[in-house]
Amino acid sequence: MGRRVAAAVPVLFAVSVLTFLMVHLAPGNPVTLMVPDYASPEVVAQITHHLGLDLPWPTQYWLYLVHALHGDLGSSIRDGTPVLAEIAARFPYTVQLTLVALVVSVVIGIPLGVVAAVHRGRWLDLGAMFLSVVWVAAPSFYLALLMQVYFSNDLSWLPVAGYAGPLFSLAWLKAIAMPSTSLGARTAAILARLTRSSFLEAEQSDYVRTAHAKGLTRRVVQYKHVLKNALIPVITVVGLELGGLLGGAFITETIFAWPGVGRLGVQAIFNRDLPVIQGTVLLTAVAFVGVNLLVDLAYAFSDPRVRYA
Amino acid sequence: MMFLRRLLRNKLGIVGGAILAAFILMALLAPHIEPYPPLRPDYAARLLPPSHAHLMGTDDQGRDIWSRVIAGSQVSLPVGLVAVGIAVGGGVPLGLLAGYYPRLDAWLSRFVDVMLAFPSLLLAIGIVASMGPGLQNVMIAVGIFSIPGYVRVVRGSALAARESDYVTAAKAQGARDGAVLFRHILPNIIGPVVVLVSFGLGGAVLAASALSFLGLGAQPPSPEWGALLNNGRDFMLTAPWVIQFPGLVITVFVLAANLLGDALRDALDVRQAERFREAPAERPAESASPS
Amino acid sequence: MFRRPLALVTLLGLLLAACGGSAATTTATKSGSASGATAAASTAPKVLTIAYTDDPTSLDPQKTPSVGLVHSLIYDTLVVQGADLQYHPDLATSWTIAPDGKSITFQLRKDVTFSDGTPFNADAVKFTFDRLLDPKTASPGKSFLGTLTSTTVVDPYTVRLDFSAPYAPIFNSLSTDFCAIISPTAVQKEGDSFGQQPVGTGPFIFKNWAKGQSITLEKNPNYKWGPYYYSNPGPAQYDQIVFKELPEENTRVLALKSGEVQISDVPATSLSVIQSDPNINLVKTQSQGVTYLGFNVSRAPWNDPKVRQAIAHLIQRDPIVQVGLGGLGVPQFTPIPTNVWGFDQSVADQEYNYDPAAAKSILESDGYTPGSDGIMTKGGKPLSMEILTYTTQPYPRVAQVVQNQIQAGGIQVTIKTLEAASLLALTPTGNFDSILIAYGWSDPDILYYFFDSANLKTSNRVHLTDPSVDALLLKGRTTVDPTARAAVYKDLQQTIDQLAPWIPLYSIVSETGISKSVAGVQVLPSGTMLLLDAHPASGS
Repeated sequence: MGRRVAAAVPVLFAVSVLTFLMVHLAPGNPVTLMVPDYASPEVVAQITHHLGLDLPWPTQYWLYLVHALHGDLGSSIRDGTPVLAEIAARFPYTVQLTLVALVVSVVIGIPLGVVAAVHRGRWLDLGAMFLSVVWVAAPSFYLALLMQVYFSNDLSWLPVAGYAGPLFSLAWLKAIAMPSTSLGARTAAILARLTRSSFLEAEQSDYVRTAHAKGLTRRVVQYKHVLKNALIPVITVVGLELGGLLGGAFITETIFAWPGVGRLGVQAIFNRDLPVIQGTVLLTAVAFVGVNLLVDLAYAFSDPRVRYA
Repeated sequence: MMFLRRLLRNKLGIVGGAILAAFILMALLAPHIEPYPPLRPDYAARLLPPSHAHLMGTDDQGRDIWSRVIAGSQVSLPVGLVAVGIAVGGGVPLGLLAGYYPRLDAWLSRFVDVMLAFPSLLLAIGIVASMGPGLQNVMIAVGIFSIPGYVRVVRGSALAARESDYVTAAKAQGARDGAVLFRHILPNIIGPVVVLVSFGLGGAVLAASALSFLGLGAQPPSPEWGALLNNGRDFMLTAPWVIQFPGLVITVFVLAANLLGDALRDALDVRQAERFREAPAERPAESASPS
Repeated sequence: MFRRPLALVTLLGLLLAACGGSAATTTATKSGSASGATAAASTAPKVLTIAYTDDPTSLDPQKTPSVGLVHSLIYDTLVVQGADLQYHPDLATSWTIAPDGKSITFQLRKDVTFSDGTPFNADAVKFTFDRLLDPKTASPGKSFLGTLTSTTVVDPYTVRLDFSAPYAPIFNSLSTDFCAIISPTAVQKEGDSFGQQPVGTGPFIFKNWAKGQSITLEKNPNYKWGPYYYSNPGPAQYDQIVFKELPEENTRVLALKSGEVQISDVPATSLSVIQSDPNINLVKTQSQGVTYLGFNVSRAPWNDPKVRQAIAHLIQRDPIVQVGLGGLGVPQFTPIPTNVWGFDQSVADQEYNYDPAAAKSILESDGYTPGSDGIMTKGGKPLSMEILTYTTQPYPRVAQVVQNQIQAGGIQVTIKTLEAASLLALTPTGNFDSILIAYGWSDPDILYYFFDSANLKTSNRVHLTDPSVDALLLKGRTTVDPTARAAVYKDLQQTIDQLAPWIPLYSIVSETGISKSVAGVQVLPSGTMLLLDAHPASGS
């Protein structure tokens, strides 16, 4: 475990160096976007100097690294807000959206997969699987726009966009319903297909045959033994999706005006706001590495053949 | 039951394959079957709803959307193929090495972790910004951020093959690494890779359309499908056919690629492919701008 | 009707699945209709909700590259520009300009306090301009002060600005929120975070900013110094203004329709939806700016004025406005738009008209001949150009119309769209043919930044170096007398017209949708909305 955590450190370091290089190699300079068209060259030089952007790259990176190791991720070039504060303000919304999206996907996806497996080969199976392929196949912003037009404009059921509090209130539920469903639809589809196939696989296994042989009813076997075993790979995928979604969901956040970290990160990329980019990339990487670690541990725990040295 | 299930699978697979074949035929015949020139505007015929004259209506420049969808297949199918080609070309060798040489595995796995942990959007913007916008670079960007998924899958299959009895036997008989890799391990990963390619084709088209959302895709007036879809976004409320038909076409194409992928997986008996398909085919599209 | 088919396949699919037991979706979808407009009961606070696209960079007017409605509500300026394009008193009641044009003395209002209680006086004005000039502030708006050297407190309510040379555009600068007067005590207290806790003398007081979500302002109950264009001097009639960030265009339109916001811009592409809505009024404003096609005059063959003039003869502005902007634009023929002081109609009248025959003969006299494919060729090289523009609409849409028009004259045209950072980084390198871009400003001195050779590395994107243009630009900014100054800009427009580094295309017209539950909103030519008089419409 300790070694796995230690192994994550070089990954995070490499990600940070890569981010730094990427932003510096990409054309564009944050200052050109921070001044009006009508700023004299002297003003541009003054701002560049003020922000320390006239220092050599290695020096800039070194300064960043030293500060980061002391827990200071710097401040936004653009508006001077500390990066940690900026992320702390946005991350809770991303967590809410991610968790609700996962709940939606599990609540939709797993029953759908079970229904399909139980009725395998029949129309219900065909329909469920077809549906899940459609959800995966539709471009996400297209699906989100359709939902918005349909549920808000045509039916007037839900607000078009934006966050509404307090947590768990009716207003909150209405606000989060569309973004979470549009974000969760894809995961739901993946889960449905995965549940179906691992359900079918589990049915073929020895212990299920044994259970049948012991004379347990088909229904008991299906729900008690088969489902339980079928869910192990499903949980893995839920974990991986969690890691991915915690980095923010730019398109969903943009269309539904959700104040999460995805939008923060993408805007920072377009603004070449390096400290904020570094901060959001680091957050994504930590979420990814952390969740992977948990998934790996879960694997090792469930399957003695897999060991992590 | 088994028979029924297989039949069902095949049915959907056949449908998927047939649709894909139709798309390929469309791309090959494009100039002959386009009812109107796909790039030539007709300002007198702007934003016309679907009719006999214009099956899918016309767009903001008065171009026939159906003609643009047909012309777009000549652009979008190669985008998918090239992106998948890059992903296979990069992912398969790396995955093989990682799966076969435990020493390299630790390093390559870290490398894959870095790539997966690195936001693909930043990578895409970096590539597009430094190499210039346009389709070529979109293909490269989509291909590159699909590599880690392929590495993972190939590595897994190679790892399993390495532990298998026949490889152990071959090694015991003194077979060289190269021979073992090519003769025994490579054949074992062809199945999963074929499945991945099929899913990846759809994934690449989706990823390209996600990049279009950010304005990083094909340059106007290209009829690339993602660009058509993104252009339609503004007309969602006033001329919905401008977004609906490209959206429908992309959905059907990706659907067909996935159905075919499912059928191939079953036919090739690729175990655990459900998990594979989720890795490379979805995640790029997802994280290019997840939603 | 055509948005239904797939909507049914995918969305009903989602719903069906949701019936399988999604707590989140079913509860939410069964909970009845949307809340609708915030129709205020008599005791409840009156709240006005306005959609905006993107967070401002900073609410500190000296730390932001652009100022907008939020700044204008929190702050006041010394003078304001009215619909007549003249400057009128705001925090300054009157002013005198020294005969040499090198100093201006302002008399200030005596009844004004900042919302934190700090009195407004000459010290506050001096503090504001000193901070703006200070290199340590590194203010993006500093250039607007031009040749200002110092600010002197003459007496508590009299302040003098001294310049090293006359600077004619100063009144325009002072009327923008870049030069808004800020509370000295608040700046000293907040330091760098003044932008998150701004304090001014405006009709509204900053309350809260949830980044990526909303900005909330509250009525300034003591405000009673509204400038002349308001029917009541204050305080405001709405208790609160909430700005709601809605980055996606369709979202803003839908939110306006549903009443979630009461004021929003309406893009041309969605205009008909709002026009047919009985609950929404539309207000048109023509932006004080020009979108133009600029040539990189440092690169062949665009360094040849004949080639540029020939292309100018290929442009038809009406189709550009109709197709590219859905009709929401006003054709422009000179670099100064029709609604900005200094515009000269006589120059606009002589501009290049659409004349493909003239274009062809100019090119042929310049040594070009049409090849077998119709492409004009000189020395074996076909004439081909790349138009550089932003990825955001309407630029790509407009670029395609321009492409089509120029191609009709036998010139190959491709379009390259770039996000802002890449585009702005590319132009100073001179590595491009032409650029489709816009500017907006309310004084013609802005052209100094676009055409003066001092700005080659920044905003002189077309790389024009012309001594006569430089001389006119300098004369324009140092000539204080309005009549003499207007003559300078007439000359300049004529010179630019002949050089044709730009082909001016149009000014954007923006449509603002305002719910009929809101009355009394005015919009200035600059596009700034005036909300002091805004109030809930009677009966709503």
